[in-house]
Amino acid sequence: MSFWERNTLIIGLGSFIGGVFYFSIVIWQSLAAGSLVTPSFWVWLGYIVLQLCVSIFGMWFGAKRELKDEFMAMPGGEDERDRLVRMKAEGMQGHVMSGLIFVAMATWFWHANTAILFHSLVAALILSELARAGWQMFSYNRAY
Amino acid sequence: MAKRPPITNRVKELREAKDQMSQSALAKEIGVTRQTVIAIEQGKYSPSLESAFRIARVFGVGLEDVFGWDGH
Repeated sequence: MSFWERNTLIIGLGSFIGGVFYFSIVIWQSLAAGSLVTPSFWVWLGYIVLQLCVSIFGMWFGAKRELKDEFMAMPGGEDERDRLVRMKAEGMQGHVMSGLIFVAMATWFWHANTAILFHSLVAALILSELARAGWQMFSYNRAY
Repeated sequence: MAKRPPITNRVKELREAKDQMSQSALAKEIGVTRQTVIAIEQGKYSPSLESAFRIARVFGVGLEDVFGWDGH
């Protein structure tokens, strides 16, 4: 597994853990309250911090193990294949994110509820990041 | 499963014929990672024209001695 492939996996894992944390709290609080809870700054911050901590620690640990000289010699630390795969994955992320944001905004016309809108946008961020990581991992292992 | 590109190559064969040159050494010569050399040898990735020329130059052969077209 290459340096960037491993980093992608770690960032995807960070998004997954952060997402599970955020939505498990939202669902748990909503079930207790009997209705969808309003967004909490601290839960949202917890999601961001958790995602960043997993990603930064994982990348730092991976970078310590990797032969850094190989990557330092290349522009941006990537070679042509890394760049191509990343661009494809970022394209996929853009499509998924715009689609989900469109759905979140369209939902407003049926339920003009800021809590639904906020949670939907968080879901769009998490799912698009997972789509990016998944497509990047898939692209590293497919023939093209 | 994605269809493999119709480009064949003799990179592994030429690398081994060149004093058992390692994948890392070839990667360093052409400016890519070892994983990319592995992907090229396995036919999973078709290198850019620039890298293809660099590979041919490392082995001291022409481009068509390294790469071939297996399609119609």
